[in-house]
Amino acid sequence: MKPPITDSEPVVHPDGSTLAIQDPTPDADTAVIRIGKPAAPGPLSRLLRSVRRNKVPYFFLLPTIIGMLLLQAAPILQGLYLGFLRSRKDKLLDYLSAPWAGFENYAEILFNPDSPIRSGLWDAVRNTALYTIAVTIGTLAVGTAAALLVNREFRFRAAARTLMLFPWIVPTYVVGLLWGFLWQREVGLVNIVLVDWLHLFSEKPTWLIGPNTLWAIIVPTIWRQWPFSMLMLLAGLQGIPKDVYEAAEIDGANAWQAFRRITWPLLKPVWAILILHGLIFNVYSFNIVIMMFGNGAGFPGKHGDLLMTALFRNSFQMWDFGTGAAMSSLLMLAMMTLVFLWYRIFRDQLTGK
Amino acid sequence: MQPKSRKTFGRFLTGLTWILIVLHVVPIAWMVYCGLKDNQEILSGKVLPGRRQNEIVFLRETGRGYLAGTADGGLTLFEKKGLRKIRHLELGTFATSFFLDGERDQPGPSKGGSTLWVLSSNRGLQEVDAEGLTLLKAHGVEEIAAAYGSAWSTLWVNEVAGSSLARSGDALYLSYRIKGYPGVTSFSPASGRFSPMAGFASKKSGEIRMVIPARGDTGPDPELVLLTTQGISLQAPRSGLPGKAVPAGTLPALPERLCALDGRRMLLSADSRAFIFDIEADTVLAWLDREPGSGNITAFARAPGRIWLGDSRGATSLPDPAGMPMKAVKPSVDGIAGRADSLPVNAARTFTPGFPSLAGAGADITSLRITAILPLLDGGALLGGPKGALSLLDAAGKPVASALAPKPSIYIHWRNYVDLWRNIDFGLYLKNSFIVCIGVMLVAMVLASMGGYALARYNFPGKNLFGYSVLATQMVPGIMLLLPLYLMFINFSRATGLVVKGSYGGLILTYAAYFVPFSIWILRGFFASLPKELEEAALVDGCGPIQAFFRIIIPSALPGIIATGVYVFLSAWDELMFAWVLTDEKTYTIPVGIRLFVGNFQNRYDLMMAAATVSTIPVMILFFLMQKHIVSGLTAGAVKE
Repeated sequence: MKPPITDSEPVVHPDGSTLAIQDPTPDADTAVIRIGKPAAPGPLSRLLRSVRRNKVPYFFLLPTIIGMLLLQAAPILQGLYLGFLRSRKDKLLDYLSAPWAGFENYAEILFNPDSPIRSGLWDAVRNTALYTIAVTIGTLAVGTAAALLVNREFRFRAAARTLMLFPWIVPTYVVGLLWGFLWQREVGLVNIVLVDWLHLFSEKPTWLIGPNTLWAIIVPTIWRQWPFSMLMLLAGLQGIPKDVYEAAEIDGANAWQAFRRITWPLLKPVWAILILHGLIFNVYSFNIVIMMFGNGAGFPGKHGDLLMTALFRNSFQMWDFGTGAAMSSLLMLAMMTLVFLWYRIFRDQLTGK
Repeated sequence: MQPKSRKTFGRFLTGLTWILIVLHVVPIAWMVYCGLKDNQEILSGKVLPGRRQNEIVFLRETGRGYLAGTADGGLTLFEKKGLRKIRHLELGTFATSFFLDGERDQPGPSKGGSTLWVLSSNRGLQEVDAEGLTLLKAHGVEEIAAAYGSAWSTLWVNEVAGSSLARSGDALYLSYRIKGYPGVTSFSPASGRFSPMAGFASKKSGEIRMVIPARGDTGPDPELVLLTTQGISLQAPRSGLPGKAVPAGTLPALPERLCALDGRRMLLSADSRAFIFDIEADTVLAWLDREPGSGNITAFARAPGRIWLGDSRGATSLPDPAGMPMKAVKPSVDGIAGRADSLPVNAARTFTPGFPSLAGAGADITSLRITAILPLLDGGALLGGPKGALSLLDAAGKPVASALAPKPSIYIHWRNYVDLWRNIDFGLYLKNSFIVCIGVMLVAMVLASMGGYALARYNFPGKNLFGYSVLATQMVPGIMLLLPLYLMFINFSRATGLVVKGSYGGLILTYAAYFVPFSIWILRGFFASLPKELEEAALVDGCGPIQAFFRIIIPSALPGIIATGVYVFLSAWDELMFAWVLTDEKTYTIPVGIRLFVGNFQNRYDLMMAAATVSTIPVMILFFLMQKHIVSGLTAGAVKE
């Protein structure tokens, strides 16, 4: 015989909801909790209620949210707004009260073939696209090869892995400075090795002027980034249990088949992450290129100028904010589109497991 | 696959791995190595560590023998007969010049003191006992710099091409051959003090090439002659009274080298040409007749009645034309050589040095370039050349003996780092970078662990919104918010009087807003991997959720938090664009400092690589200390996603 449950008085919550325990059928082992809904709460009170209920997470996130609102959201919104204003160099500090320009800045960039800004920016767009694609592919290729190479047993493997991480620790501005020196026509190590030692070219190529410039910025970026890909892919590889391969070998699979059927599918999500990382990192690449030309004081030239360096020059050397902001907005839009595409392409890999 | 071939294949792969590693480490090794190298060596494309430029630049006769000094501060005493080496001292200096007390214009051993003064760009002024070849005293470059104050600041960004040292009365006068050198410095051996010489208009007078005492002036304040890229000027050093000045435009060519024949007449050389100039009358007295293609003049010497010239073919001795009747010609730039009297060629005698063959020593001296001449009493001469080669010739020009000064040690040095610190405020940039990065790191560690925990353990409305906005901030080009941020900072300062732009706080908060969202993302995964029982136990024990977080969660998540902190430190260390715009002279971080000042280095690759190495070392150390944490933290965050 169970003890009877006494009906409780309804508890009224501050938001108006009620809660009561009732025992409708005294013989059965059941009780009923009745929840009374308040009479249609407004959106404000709902917000207050949720804040009160989630005090801890909101408290924990509050400083970050304030910082993001003040130092990220506010300037970003202003940046978007600036793209629609006709910026005036003489009244820089009253930037928000500049005359409204509508889509003038956008039209200037997109449709005015005589605009000097436009030609410079389209060079930068082309270079950035080629640069991003080449760097991302190169980084993944070298990173995958290196990860597979150091995922084997051999002597001094730990030292090899550490040494491979070396370029990744070098700050990017140092990478720019260093490679700006390595690519020098007469005194650079690249030409010393390629021409003086290996005699691959009949005369020393110029790397930092002309069409070769694109290679001169791609190679150092791959050099800097592949160790990170290697690290990530290696972690992915080590997540694959050994006995899977042993079982495959017993079943008669050769090395290629094992790679194709076991390693490859498991590496795909890591590749997806790395492609996203490369996309964002390389489209917004700035330090390496800005430091490589004239020891950081020069101009990359039309074959080496990237979007970030072009925009930086437009904004902070020509003080042309309107078109700069418009271009940044377009760039942001393009980036969001790319990330959306990325998500559509790799959704299965990311969520499939 | 057969076990044997599999083993071979494995070896092949291991070899491939190491080739890849070596290829990828080479640029870093090259960076560190070039930071320890001499720029001249880098510019000449030499890869292996070479030896210093040890051409003989100084030859004197002392009571014990011949004293030879090289441009890199090697001093050797040779026996007079047979040039056998007696003693050697290596000072390891650069752009060295020498002055022996009691030097005279006569052949024969110097009389008077036996103190040798050595001036160099790295060791300042050194005092050497010329008999025993021992270092007596050194006055570092810092002591000279102290006499100038801030005028010194960018001195060694430009390479010091040489130095010049002269004695007049009881003071020494020294100068460096360098762009923007603030003038001639005087040094009093009695008081041991340096002071800038009064009156010599410093930067207007251009690059100083030589400072020598004017001959024939034996007054109480003997004049000095200063050869600069702007011309020649005379000055009485003690009174500071300016004497005669000859602007470069008055001279037929910009002289490279100068030798005072007497109070009025100067022997000057420019490239392969040499002429005698009367500085009182501003006229060329004579052109020294030289065969076409004789090469640049590289040395001068004077003996009674004779002038000695050295070039890339040997030495020439000419009778001093003093007292010869000569037509004075006002110089004009065009066709001057044909109009002034030329010295008679038949009176010149050519001496071809018998430098020792260096084939066995791994170097070849193809040129007979003379870099120093010591006329001897018997009419012969001791000639010095590149790589420490010496040749003794008799009056007939027949080589009698030859010798080589000892090879200097291999050329790797810390000088670039010293110069870097001395020239640009690298210590300040390093300090600023550390303050900003440590500040961001601490802020990020606190905020990101709170935020990451909230995301990992709680479900709350707006969680997804927050997650998306974190991702969205990663997609915004930094340049877009940089400009409004910069203007916001300035407007805020105007409104409140609080300085934000150029303060540490402004940059730290900006970086924090940039890095914290991403750190939250990393730490979220870390907190999610901690067992829930941890804080459940704490809650049962009566802790509040916040107490539980600080008492229980933080300590158990510490490795992840530290890894995230280090990651933020490394990222902030690497940031250039925001720091460029948001700092000022007092708060420049390393990348901004490098960006601003290395641009002025032109082709000082040695200094640049030293700067690059210094900016890499702190993050390298930090990374290797924390390697395990960082690697596991980063890969866990990304791979488990």
